[in-house]
Amino acid sequence: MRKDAAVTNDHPSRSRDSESAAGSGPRHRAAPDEELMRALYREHAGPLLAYVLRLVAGDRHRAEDVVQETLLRAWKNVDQLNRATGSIRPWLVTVARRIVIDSHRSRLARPKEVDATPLEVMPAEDEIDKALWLMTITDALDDLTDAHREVLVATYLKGRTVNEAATALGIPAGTVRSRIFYALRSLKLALEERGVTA
Amino acid sequence: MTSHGQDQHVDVGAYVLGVLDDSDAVVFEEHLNSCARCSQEFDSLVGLGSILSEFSASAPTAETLTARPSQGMLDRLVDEVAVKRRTQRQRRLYLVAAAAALIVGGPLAVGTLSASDVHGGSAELAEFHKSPAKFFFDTMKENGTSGTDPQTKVQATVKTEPKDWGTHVVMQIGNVRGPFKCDLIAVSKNGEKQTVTTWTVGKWGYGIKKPTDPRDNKQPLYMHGGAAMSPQDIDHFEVNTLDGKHLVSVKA
Ligand SMILES: [Zn+2]
Repeated sequence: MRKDAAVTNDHPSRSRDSESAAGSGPRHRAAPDEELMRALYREHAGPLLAYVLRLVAGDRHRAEDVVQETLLRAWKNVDQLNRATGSIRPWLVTVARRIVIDSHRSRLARPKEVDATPLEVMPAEDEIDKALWLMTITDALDDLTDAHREVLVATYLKGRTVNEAATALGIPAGTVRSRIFYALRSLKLALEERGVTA
Repeated sequence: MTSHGQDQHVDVGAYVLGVLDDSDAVVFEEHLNSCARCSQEFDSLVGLGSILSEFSASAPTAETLTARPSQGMLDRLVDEVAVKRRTQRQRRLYLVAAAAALIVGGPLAVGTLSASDVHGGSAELAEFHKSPAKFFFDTMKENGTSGTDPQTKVQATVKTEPKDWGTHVVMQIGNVRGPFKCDLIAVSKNGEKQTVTTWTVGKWGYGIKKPTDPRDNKQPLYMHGGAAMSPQDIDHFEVNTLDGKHLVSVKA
């Protein structure tokens, strides 16, 4: 979690939050509960959204609702979470998953028994590990500058070649190539800092 | 766009990801065969390809890869917190009033609860809500009396205050490890015994002096209750397990 604070610097919308959380808005300073909520959002909302989107087939609206509800529950249970050792992410993953399952059931408006699938049980350990891995990769990608992240998305993640991406982005192909190189170097560092070896 | 002299070294990144256009890839492979620096770089970056591949394969939509929580979400969360905090404060206030009325016969009798606490949701109020017994223990003026049992090593400190109905007794107990149930008994000078309160001690105990397990509880326990005798009639207090084992005595 120590690294997550640095994540804010690269992303414009998150940078705004970190400024206000740091005290530029006096009303925030006066409300520790709100500070806590902002910190939870800053450190976990992005990675959690990445995970939840994968649970809800990319339904953006629904994923946001789930993340919001999960963070609210985390805030309400913060006493309990503080006492637990280590990251709160396994807790967040478990709760988010629970909310997805429950909302799925209520959307289907069916009695519980009918919809009782194997999803009912607690997530298997490897599923949590997989979710945590996903969130870590998201953290690391967030560490990149916008320009670096952009070329990785525009080429590899969208399945385009360098020249296609250069046209799409309106920048020279040579720039795309060198940015990819430096983006990968930064990504490798960002992953290593989080204990992921590539 | 294929000749770029020494800049060619950076192409190893795009090559690792397999996003170089075909003709550029052919040219780069030739360079790679004769460039030690790029071979090394290739080895160091190639693992990222599989990480990114797994990452993107798990995304149901392209948008998933870059999705960020909206600013609106943060605003809604902060609003919710503000609302919840207000209602919680009201709930706390209820509990404080209820507890105070039960224990000491009326909210005003708790001297430390002022009107400003009631409206401001002070830290004191939160402390009180968390553990009324500890709150009383910490705020009672007298020092209380303590005792440590030579055999069980259990420690207890008792503070009392006179009430119209008898004696309000607050106790801090530590270095006690269960599991068992126990009670605090007030023993009068003529031998009469009255139970002040009853509670459970778990296996991780309370106020453990020398923890041997991370789960051992180092915090002491605070309990309180009442006895229908005046403070000067009380000779001592005893803590016993409900199955009769004596844990500690404290002079009144
Ligand atoms: Zn080279």
